[in-house]
Amino acid sequence: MIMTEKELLAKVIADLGYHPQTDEDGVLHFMFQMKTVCVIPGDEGEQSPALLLPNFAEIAENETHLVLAACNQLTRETRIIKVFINDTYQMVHASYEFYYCDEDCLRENVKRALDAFAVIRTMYARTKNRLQEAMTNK
Amino acid sequence: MTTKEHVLEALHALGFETKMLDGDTYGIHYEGDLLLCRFNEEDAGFFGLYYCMPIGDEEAQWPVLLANQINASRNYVKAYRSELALWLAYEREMFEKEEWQVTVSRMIEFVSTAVADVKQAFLECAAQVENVHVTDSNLQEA
Repeated sequence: MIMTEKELLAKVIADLGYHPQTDEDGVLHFMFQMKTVCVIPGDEGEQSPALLLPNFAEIAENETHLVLAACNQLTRETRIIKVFINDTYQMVHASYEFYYCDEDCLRENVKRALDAFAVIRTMYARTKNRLQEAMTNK
Repeated sequence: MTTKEHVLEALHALGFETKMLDGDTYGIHYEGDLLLCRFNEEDAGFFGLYYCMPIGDEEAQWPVLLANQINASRNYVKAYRSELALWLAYEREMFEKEEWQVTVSRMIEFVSTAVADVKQAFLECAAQVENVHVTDSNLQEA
């Protein structure tokens, strides 16, 4: 029986020891180190899914520019992770998008994404503080 | 179920991979840091969460000041120096009716926040102070 990409993603995540679940909107998600990670399958036949870490930091009033600068710096420096803010300018998200050729490749990519998600909140906080200090000292 | 079983189950549900380091000690990673989870066979309700930061200098006095500052300013998390390490700990008695995932996740957050503060203070102290000696005057400042 051929698995759909979503089923394969759920299998790989379960093999890694996590507990994938599907919510009422059909979104596959799982808990990783107290963070909810969502899995977005790619377009039909593309084998290009994405892992999304939504809402990992809140944006306080009047700090949108600072947060945008921090997101930009993190996206540039981490390379494999995109860090961005949502349409309402209230929350910060991170995503990891990739192509894979087979199940092993998919597993390695999921592990890489999780390694990055494990520390992205700390990296974000440090980057934001550093930028804040630099702006204050100008 | 025992406290240990409840806590380990909660950790797995929260998405942690636990690694047994010895019979009563397990390691988890959070925000890139290794946190130690300890249980005690003789005290069935006990659960402790720890972070160990190596100091490397037996003579350095400032970790003692830093530990004192944490103990004076932080709720729940205590700090102490033991030989060549500064330890952060959150220990408590767990009860059968705990909301295990909520309690465990809050304990992790408290320790993790203290770890971030200590790392920052550590860097600042290390950069500014090479030889701090504990005196009455700097104890009062701390």
